[in-house]
Amino acid sequence: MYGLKTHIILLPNLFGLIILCVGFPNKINAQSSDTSSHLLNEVVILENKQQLLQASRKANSIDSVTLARYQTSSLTDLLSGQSAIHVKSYGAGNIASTSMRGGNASQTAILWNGLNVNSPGLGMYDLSLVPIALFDDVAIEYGGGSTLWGSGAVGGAIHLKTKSLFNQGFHTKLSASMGSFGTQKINTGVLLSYKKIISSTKIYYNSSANNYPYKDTLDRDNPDKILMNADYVMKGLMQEINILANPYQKINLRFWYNYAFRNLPTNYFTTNARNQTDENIKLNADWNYAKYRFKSIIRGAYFKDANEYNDSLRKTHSKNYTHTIIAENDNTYQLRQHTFNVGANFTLYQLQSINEEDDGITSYSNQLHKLAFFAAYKLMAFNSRLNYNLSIRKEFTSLTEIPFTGNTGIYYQLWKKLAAKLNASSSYRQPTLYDLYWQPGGNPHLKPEESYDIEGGLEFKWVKKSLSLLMEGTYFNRHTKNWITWLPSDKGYVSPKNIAEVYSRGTETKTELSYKNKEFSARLIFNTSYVLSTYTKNEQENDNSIGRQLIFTPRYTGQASISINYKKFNLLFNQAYTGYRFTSSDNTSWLYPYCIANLKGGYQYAFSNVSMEIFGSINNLFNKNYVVIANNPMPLRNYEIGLSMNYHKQKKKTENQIPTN
Amino acid sequence: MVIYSKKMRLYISILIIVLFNSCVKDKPQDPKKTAVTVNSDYKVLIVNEGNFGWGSGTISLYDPTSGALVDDYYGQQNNGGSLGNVCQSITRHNSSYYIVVNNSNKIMVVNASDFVKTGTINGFNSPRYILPITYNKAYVSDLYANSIQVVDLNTNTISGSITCMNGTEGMILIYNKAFITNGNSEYCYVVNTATDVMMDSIHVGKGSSGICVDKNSKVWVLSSGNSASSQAGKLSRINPVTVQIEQSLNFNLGESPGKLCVNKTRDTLYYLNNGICQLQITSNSLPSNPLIYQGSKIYYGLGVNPKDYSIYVSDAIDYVQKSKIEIYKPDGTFITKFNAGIISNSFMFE
Repeated sequence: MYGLKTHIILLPNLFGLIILCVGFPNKINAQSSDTSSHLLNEVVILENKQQLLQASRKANSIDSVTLARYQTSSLTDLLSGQSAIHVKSYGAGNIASTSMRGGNASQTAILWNGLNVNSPGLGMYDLSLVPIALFDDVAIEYGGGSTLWGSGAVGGAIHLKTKSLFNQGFHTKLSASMGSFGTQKINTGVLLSYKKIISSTKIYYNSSANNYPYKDTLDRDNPDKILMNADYVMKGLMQEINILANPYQKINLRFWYNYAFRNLPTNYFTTNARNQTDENIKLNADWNYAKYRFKSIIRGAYFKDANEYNDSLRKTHSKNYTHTIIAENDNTYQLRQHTFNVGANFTLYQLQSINEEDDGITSYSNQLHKLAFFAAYKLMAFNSRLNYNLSIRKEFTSLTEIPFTGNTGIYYQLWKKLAAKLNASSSYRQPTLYDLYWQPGGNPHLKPEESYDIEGGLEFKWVKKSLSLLMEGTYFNRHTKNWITWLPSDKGYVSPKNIAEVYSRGTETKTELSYKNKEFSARLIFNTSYVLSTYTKNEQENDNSIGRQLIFTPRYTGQASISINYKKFNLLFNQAYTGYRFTSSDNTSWLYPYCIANLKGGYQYAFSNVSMEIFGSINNLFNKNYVVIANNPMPLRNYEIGLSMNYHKQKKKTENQIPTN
Repeated sequence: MVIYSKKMRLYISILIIVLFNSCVKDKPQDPKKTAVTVNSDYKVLIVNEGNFGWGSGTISLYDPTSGALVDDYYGQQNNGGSLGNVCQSITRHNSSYYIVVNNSNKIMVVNASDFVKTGTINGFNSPRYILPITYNKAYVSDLYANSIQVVDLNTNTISGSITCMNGTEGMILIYNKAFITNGNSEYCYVVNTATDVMMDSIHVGKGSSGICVDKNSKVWVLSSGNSASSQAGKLSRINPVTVQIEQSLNFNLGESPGKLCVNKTRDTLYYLNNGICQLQITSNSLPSNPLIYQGSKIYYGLGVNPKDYSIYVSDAIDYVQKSKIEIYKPDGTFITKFNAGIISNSFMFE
């Protein structure tokens, strides 16, 4: 369901220009697609449920051409460089999470083909464990999306999707690169695409000694240091099978395995060697039925997340396993300008935790199940100039009352080139399994966080021949109550409580200017975000955080990128700015802003069915010494160079390609 | 960009107004850095742990006479340098202060007169407290090492170790015996400081940490208990000569008492248990109510000024902002309060 409403977006009044803008480089690639370019490189914007039902909320997709430049990178690098979302990274290859619209890491939902894959234990997903090579589309959705995605979609959601095109023939790809600090990356893919069946296999392997030099601003005696004990190995496999049983029925089977072993760096503060192993298995099967005006999806999924943490000096050895089982049914019926959607979701979470310490082993397990019912309605009126939507969702758990969530919004085409959006929603975040059951300290009496969100925006689109301009400005305003915070208790250990209320508001702008002719295309992207996210309530007498910005949440972020394609050359320059972040909730200590630039370039060469590309990148071009999180140094200027090879044997085009998801 | 019509101009103007309204200046105001010099010989050093993993631990210097405060005394005296991560304790010995930096696994040595760094002792697992034994010898307790480290203060190196289960905490020295509490075991360990050999252990209950000596030269040990394993906290009075418990007072299950202190005349004990509790050493029972309730505060550090009996307590609040230090008279009357560093855990009165 969720991500599976798959069409190429052709709703002209909705996202027409986004498609146009995004579409330009596509055409360039399409010109050479028979012989060259990347596996699955055609731009197909996969519509998801949000775009279908809640177009009144801000969303944008990172185009496949930009995505192709990040083929050897992780989601951490992609979002840091190509969005104004604040990415909280503990260092190259190290743990990274997001802060969207002033929320925390567990208030962003990471969705894999519409399924929430945030760890049920921690409530967040480590962006460094998402290799871009496995995905064909990365889209960002802003604001409260609980009516669609359930718990956790508060600040926003990030969609990771693959697409499947039937009847494409045989396609294979190998890409390998080498970089600074002993970094090696390799990924390969094989696509067999026939009329009725597709098999897509992707494998990646990354490893790095990751021993980068940095300047330690705290150690006056010895500022020049090399990061120690930060090496990592990451590998993964994604296998997908899509079967077109008949013109109305399609079955998708997906398997994603990911493994990462990381030593956690030692520094001036932490001298003991620690390491972390993550192993994730994700299985997803769905059956799609679409006939006339009716569409139905039945889907099931199983996720296993294993995390192991070792601190040899401290003799801590902890293993945490979570299992998630999802069953869902989602139905859509379209009657002229009316769209109706109803469905239900059942999710079972299981947690198993084993801690080995010197004084023995403690282990425990818990489970939680959740049942959700949802419904949505969309109206297209006035010659499709007006798009009105209303969605509701109610979830039930065995534990606490979950608030009713709702969303309503209007998208209105004021004028040919200008559209307005207005949306109100409520969203929630269920306490994570660790919040509820962690021993010691877990608090099973926690209430869910509740958020109330309004946003409004204007979208300006202008196209003239080969030039196009898209501008979007958005204002949002969100109140969150029952904000969950871990605090030491009088029992002698930390325990989560619903103590704070947070008010987040701000503005976002998006500007895309594109130019394209036969041999040359260029695009300028400029995103900014200004977020005030402050505490409005705290019951503690001596507290000095009211009205102050949340820690590690920048007020200003901005990102600009210039992408140029000329004949067989491509170049991408981007620069991202992150403002001051406070390290204390009374805002008396802070980290300095940083502005980091990266340069990527490539040259493509094609002959018959084979195409090759040599690519390279210079990261942190201006050699800035910076940290995102206090005392976790980031790498100085570093390099990567690589080669990718594609082989594509096109099938005879006997019928129209059916784009599906 | 191209502006087509008046209508368009209007829209653009609205857009700009919406986007650029009420932006706040990003650069925070630097705190006023007036070089505070505390000259009075009556001063208080406050140990601020800092946030585990990423925050800098600091030592604040407070002058009770003038109310002057130096936020980061070490940084001020050492050209902005940092002590490291998680300052656990400070101890004065000879003409130096020894600052135990837990997560950075080291002890910073600074000159007592000007707080300038003179050395570092490395090689610990997770050091907690340092106990000077002789002029050149000290013991260091450790949360994760299965031994007490013996340190040569002449060379600032570890010279030996005394096997002891991990979790060693507070220590005191009396009659050539070191009494060492342990947060993980149910025992307080006794080491012969002449031979550095473990000679005895005393059953004081789970989670002992606070330890002090009263005016009758009796050793008091506070154990916080463990609610998960249904073990209640306990306050034990030990005769250091016989190494026997003379008296034992039990807390209720679920209470987690901590931070044991003794006053100037060493006849009154103070500890934290849902507030500040006061106990005469002659008392046969624990007080049923705290002297000062903590209410919505989270009391974390405690100290009693040996000069004027005043009680210093820190409220760590949310653990990511400056702690509030409150000062009370021994009768519980509030005197004043001020902000120190992040997670203030103890006080040293000079």
